[in-house]
Amino acid sequence: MAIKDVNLGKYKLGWHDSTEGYAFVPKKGLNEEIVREISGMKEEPEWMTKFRLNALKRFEKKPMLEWFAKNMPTIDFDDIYYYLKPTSGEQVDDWDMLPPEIKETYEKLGIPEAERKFLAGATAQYESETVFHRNRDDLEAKGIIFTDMDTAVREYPEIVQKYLGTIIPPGDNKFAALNSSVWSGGSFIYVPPNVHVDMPLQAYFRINAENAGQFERTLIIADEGASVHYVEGCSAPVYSSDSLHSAVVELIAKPGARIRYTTIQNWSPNVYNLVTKRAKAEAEATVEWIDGNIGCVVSRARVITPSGPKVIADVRPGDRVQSWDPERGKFVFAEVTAARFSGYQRVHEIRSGVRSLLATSNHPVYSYRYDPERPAKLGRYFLDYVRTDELAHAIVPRTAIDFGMPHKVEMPSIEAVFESTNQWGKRFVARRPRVSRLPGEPIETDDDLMWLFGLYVGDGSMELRRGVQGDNLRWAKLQFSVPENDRARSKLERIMNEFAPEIAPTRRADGRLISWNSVELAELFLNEGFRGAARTKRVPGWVETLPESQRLAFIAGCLDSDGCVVPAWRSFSMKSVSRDLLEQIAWILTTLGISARLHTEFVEHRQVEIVGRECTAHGAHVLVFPLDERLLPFLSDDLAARARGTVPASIKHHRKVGRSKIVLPDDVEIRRVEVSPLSSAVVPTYDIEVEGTGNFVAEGFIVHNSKLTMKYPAVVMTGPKAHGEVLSVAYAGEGMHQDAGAKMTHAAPETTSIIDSKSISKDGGRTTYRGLVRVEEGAHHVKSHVRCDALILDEESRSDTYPYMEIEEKDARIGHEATVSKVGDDQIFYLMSRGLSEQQATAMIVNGFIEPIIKTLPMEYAVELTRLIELNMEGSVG
Amino acid sequence: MSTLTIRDLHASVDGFEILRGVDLEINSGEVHALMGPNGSGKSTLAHVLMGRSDYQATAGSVTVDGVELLGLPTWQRAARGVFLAMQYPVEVAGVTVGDLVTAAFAARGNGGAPADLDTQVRDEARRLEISDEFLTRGVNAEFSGGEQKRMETLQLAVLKPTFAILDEIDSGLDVDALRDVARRIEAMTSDDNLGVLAITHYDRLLTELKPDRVHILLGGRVVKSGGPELAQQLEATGYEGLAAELGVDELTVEKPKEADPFGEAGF
Repeated sequence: MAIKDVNLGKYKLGWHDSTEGYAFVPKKGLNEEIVREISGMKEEPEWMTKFRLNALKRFEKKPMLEWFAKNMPTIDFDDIYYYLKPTSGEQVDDWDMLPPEIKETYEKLGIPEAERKFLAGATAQYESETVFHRNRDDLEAKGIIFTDMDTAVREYPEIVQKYLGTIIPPGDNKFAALNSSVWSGGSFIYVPPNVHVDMPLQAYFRINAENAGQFERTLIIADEGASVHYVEGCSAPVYSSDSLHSAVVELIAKPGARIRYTTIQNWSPNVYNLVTKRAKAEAEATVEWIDGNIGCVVSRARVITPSGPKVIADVRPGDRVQSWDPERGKFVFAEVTAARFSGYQRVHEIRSGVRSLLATSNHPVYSYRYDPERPAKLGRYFLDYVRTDELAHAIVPRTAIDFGMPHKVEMPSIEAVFESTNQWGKRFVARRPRVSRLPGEPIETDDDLMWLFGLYVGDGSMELRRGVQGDNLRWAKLQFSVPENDRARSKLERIMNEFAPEIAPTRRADGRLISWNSVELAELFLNEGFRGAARTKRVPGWVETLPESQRLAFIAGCLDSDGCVVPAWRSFSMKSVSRDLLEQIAWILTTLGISARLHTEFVEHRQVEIVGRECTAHGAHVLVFPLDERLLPFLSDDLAARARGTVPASIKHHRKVGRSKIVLPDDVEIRRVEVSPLSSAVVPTYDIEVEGTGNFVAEGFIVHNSKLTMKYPAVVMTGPKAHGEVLSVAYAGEGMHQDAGAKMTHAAPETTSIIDSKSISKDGGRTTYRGLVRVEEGAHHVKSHVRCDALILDEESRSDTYPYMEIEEKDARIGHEATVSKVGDDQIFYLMSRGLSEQQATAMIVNGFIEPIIKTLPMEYAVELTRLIELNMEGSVG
Repeated sequence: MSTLTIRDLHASVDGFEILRGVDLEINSGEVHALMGPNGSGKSTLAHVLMGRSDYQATAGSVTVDGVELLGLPTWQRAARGVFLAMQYPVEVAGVTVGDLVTAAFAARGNGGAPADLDTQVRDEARRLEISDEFLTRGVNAEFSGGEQKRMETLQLAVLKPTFAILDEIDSGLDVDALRDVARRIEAMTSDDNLGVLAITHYDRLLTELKPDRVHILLGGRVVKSGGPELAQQLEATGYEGLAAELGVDELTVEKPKEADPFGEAGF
């Protein structure tokens, strides 16, 4: 089955040459051999190898999580490298050795060197192995262990063995099992009883090679009465292709201990982020999760919705967009589940004929791959998404699904304007309505009318004489240079006669021109956007929103005036002096799934001789596109016959996938593409998430959509009087949808929890809080407080709160408080009266709003989070 | 020595004229009291002077040393040395008074906040009997009326404007707070040469804050000006008595209803 072959490779993404520099690159895929190899490379003790193998068995047995299966039905676990060891060098112990991108990010954020060095100690995860690690001497002196997990397994096996997998056992979910079998890197912290770590411990994670699974494992143990604050560093913008990030974080707070864990995520959009984070708080212990989420993802482009093309930035969750369903081999409308502004990024231009899409290097476009190492029976060629910077061919629509609505054409009201003098000699202007010879009621466009408008774009023109006031037409003539013997003449006369029977045409004696002297017709054409001369004519914006047949009829009208059939190319060709006009026609073709090319014959003016007369030719551009059968019914008989008479292009044309025998579904075809170098400037980018198919059609290319992240931290309170706390901040700007949430399980009496979720939405952004508070049987006198504060900066933005409670004991006291603040004029005025500008005032209100979270963060993270929000706010102001 | 001059100021809200020609002249170091019944346009005057966008000045001029203020955005009026202490200061969660005055200095340019700003804020707080707790809270967040007004006075004292407009600073104040606030403002008029326009309903404030001039606003116009004795006369006759004496038949200029600018400000 061809389809089966197609899907096998769907999520495989190209490996970069950069892996050559890695000390150890095992084969892709997951099996016992790989797991043993990883364990062997790390020189692990036997119990660890067993732990991994046991987890592998569970991974194989575990069903896929429902939501994951639904959203990513075909993730191929055999197509991921599970372990990469960068360079053969040992771990480094100097800040200068930090990857330059991270250092750059810090410089951009304006964090002074002194503060960067103020860190208590850090590990930076580069690829799977921890290459950077430092431990301050005084930490060691206090008996605090802060190291990477691999070292911990070797040096502190008794502690690791005792706690690893106790909070999140390998069998907890499929991803926990996966992590348990192939984990590498991560942080290990042990704080002895009653020791307080006064400065935050920090680590930086980053994924740098494409397709590298990141499976770090973090284990933090605060022994009785101890306290520690751990900060999982900002990854800095990570520019990689699709990666699976499936970390497991386990926190254990022994009786009376206190752990605070802070995340400031800024993962790259194409990272599948499936972190399982859970904490156990024993008696009288406290665990706090602090989460700052600034999400991001690709491209400013037009997508197709049932009501017409739409700029991706305007797409909102719930909208439906045109998407490719590879199972059925058809285009469908699929629902958008999320839309996000993805920040400012550098982009490539992907060009195929007139199609042009701007996308970031890592954005996956539908194409094919060749892998000589695949078993021949699976097919070494397979259809797949390929990142933009590696793209040579693209599989593009060859047809389209119908969408759109007819356009309403208002009948113009025309008036006569006089200037005259009254009996006292005073000048005045009088206006009087004129009787229109067109129908009074507005009409909807139909195929014929669109053909007429198309013909006007090619061969039409107008002569206008303005009245005294300049704002009205005194006299007008609508004319078409369609000779009597022209293929379009009879159709033109028929349509005009049906449309405006009361207006008689004037036929010029030489038979070359036909015109209608009519102010009302001219007004109507002008009102609908048909104006200008050959070089300034444009396709009005509403044409792209019409139903398929009307867009086809419009193109047919253009062809009947300026087009011809080129048998040698088996194509239609259309010539114009206006490149802009042809580009606009080409976009209409793209919405129809017709692949066009645009040539320029010459651009310099040149002198030519036409029938014995010297003329200036102003350059010409030619639009060439296939003889699409759908166009034929709308063409004049003559042109249609000529198109039918041309030998049709071979069905194999643009349908061969490399040298394979893959049969492309009829609705798509394959085209060569050119990809420009990366732009030097950054542009605003967007991405959407599409239900089911996971792709959408943008500017006539099929591109993959963004990924999901699951990031609700959880605390399980197992001992009496334990305390759990989750603080989160989410910011949603233009086109963004941010989710935040938390899970609290009260499994012991007198436990308390606080969930404090703050969200900011602006420029139509949307934030959602989802949280669960669970009070188990026997957990008496539980207190929980959920507080969701939303700050909404304008009328278009919104915020939703979904608190869930599962309460088994009646004496639980659960408080839920949700506040929605709108920045009011009073607040802005108050701050402005102190000398702040309006922008400064807004920024101050936002900063004040997130202050409760900011103040819990170490300085550099506070600065970073504030700055990120400011950058995002600036970005969305645009 | 600076002068704040208001000439024939007309202003309206939602097209309804509330100020119908106000003339005032205030010099540095002087305290002017503007008295009037509810609805006479007192608060409107304060907001128009500060340039709130939903109040439109339709005629006249407001100048500081000859520089026209009308037409400037609010923050630029602040930069020209005009300060408005509000009747209902607005809560800004998470922003301390220290943050606010630091930002205000930064916005003003000229090298930003003075190095000893923290100390200044603390000293002023002590002088105004504001406990430290209020310095770490968000401005006006869960403050009582008295605390709000003390905090407005603190900002006034730290920012050192040329002219202060005090919009009903006595409302919601107990006797002690009123005395503290009045003392501080009085000191500023003599030490820093601050010019004050104190807008008030009652003469209660004026027993604490000695005005140089008293103006009576009725029906959107200043109908009478005089020395401090005018306040006492008013105490005796009431606004209606005064109106009758002056032959003014319209005391208030309130729009029939719904013109409450605070009601719909959306919180």
